[in-house]
Amino acid sequence: MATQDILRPAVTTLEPALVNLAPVQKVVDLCRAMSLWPMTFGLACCAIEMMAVGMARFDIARFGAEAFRPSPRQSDLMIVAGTVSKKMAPAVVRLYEQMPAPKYVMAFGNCAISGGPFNFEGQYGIIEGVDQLIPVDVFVPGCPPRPEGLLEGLFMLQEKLTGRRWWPQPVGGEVA
Amino acid sequence: MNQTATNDVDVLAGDYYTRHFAAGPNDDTLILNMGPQHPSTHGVLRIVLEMDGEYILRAEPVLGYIHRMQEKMGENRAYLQYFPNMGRVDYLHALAWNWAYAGAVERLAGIEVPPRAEYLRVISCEMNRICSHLLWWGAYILDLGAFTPILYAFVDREEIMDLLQIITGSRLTYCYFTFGGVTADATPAFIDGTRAFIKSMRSRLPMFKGLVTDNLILRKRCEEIGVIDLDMARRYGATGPVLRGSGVACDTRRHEPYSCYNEFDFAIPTASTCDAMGRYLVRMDEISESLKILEQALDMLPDGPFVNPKAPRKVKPAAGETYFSVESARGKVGVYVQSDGSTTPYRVKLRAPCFSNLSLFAELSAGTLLADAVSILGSLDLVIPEIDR
Amino acid sequence: MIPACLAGLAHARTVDSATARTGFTTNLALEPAAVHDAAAALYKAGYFLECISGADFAEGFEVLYTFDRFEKPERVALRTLAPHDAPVVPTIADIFHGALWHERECFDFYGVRFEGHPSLLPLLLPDDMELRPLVKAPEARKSREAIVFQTPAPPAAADSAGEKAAADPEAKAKAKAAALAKAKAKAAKTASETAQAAGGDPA
Repeated sequence: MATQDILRPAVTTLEPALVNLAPVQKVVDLCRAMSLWPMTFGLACCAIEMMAVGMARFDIARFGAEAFRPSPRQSDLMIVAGTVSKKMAPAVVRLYEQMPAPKYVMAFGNCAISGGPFNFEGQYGIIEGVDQLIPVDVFVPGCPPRPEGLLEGLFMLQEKLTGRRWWPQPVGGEVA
Repeated sequence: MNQTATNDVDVLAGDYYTRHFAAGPNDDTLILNMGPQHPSTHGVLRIVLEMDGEYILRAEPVLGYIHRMQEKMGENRAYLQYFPNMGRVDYLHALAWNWAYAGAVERLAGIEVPPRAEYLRVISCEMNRICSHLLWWGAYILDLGAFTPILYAFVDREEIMDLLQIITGSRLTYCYFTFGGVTADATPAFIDGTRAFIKSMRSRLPMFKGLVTDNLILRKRCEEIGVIDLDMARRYGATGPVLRGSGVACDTRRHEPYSCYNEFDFAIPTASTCDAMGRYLVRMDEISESLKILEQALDMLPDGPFVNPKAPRKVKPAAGETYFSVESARGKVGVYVQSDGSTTPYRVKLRAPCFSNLSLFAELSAGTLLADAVSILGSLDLVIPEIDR
Repeated sequence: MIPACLAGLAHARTVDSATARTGFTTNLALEPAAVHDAAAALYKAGYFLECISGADFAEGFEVLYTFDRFEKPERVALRTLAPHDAPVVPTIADIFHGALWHERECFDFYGVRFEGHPSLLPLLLPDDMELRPLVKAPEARKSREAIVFQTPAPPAAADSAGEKAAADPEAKAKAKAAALAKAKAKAAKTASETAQAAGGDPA
């Protein structure tokens, strides 16, 4: 009765661009970088700091990423904020596959990077880092990271897309 | 790696839980999964629903998507090493869980807490409570469709988090308590800042009331929704604002007083309507009561050490068991510790109020509209990692 | 102190505990068969179900039920033991519906089966996990007698252990001697290392 033909493997490659000229690609990449739409994928404590980033004080809207979409079909950036448990892992993979390309993943918080404080000997229930499941573009450490950390992660992702950082370095936080 | 898991999903019958929920597809009803990724479930909660159009016939929450082995870690960690876990069980009211655990072990090991530390615990915990209620309020209204109030709520939250950062060092998952007191003293900047905050918060509350609480749309969405009577509360063990919204003035701070709460003059708000609006009003009133407690605690803050100088760093309580309970923003938190005389606990059981509060959702939501179910979930004030531990 | 509703309960063993230390007003150990009637009596008397938790002792799996009242603090703890090889306890989920989830959690962590539970499915663990995580290795299990039944008076103030050591001059002298010897050995080691390094330098 039920067939597996309905579920097909996800296609995660981009079709070649219609106008495949380098300057045009640069502009397109810049536009993509400045309007990344995150998916609300808050799993645990880090989700609260992700919410704080969307609010008035830290205001991720200044950098183009304020449209948090609940649906993966409408988002470019999956911010994995929180611990991924073994029970949740298939859902994470499925959501990643549902995102249209080009898509990016930010591992936000220690749990998403390595399992965090729950990575202990004898642990039976969590995935030790979401990069075991899906490819991650930027890692933001912290437990939880400060909202400024998420913003810096976003800037690094924008640097990855466009080749340069667009926003001033925070005073005292200059990377050598 | 997870291909085997997804292959287990039959496209029409679903996975293990949906198969147990409903034998197969039915012409009349729709089996709908709400979650585990959903903006309104406040975390990774999945609810399997059987719908007749917009009406819910049956609902069953499926848990475990953020099960982080807290109780297993309790048996694997020395007593002091377990404090960071407490901050992450309920990250919105982390200090209540800090307190429950500290209180349990202090009782087992016979460690006394100096008066100044007790007051600092009260001050920080009440500020955390206000912080938690503000986030609940903003997120609840966001679920119901209004985006503005959460922006206001976060402005006040940021103020509290900046103040608590002065003494605890953290913004969210506080680890401020230790056995015999707290880890840092209150600074003049903290005390002056808290006094200023109390004033500013008091001036914001009327605006929240006028803007949101008296709003007709909110009233229509919350009144007569999710009526919990006393018998239901008893059968499921509902506590906290969920219980007080049904008219029962039971608050652990008065019911089983701990620390110095007996010295403060504050009321226990209740509502007699037993619905979502009642629970809403109880939480808003609790913010005012917490501000009262804060004011009194700051006025009465005694001098002295902020931690018992004789408290051991390597705690080794004598064999025995203890159950210590505090009032968190969500209800009655219980930490049950069994000690076998060694440096790690034998058993740590975390009694989460949300676990009991959510268990009544299946009975409560039968026959309601799906939109009302969202309102009910918000009014229960759930933090899923506390349920899954 | 046993509340009136539980008076005359069959095969109850009272845990003579210092309530100030445990937080329980009543602490009873029952046979599994008596649990259902006790829960029914408590429901009729107006208690609410606070928590059900398990523990793994050498004698078996213990299931601890805690009930309390809304009007005044009166925590009643009922505990029952189920053998390791066949852990079955009757359910109380037909009286206190909150037990539906508490018992599923107990089953998840310990494998205790609750007879009569309408759907004893995994609650917190993945459905394909066979591991019962909180079950201890047999050599790590301790006896219930030491932890639950024999609850000594709370220990004296925390520094009593230090005072004891100070009061025992022999132990103190031994410890001091051992520390001295260790420090000497360490100093000798570093001295020989520096000598080697100095010796190895080309003139």
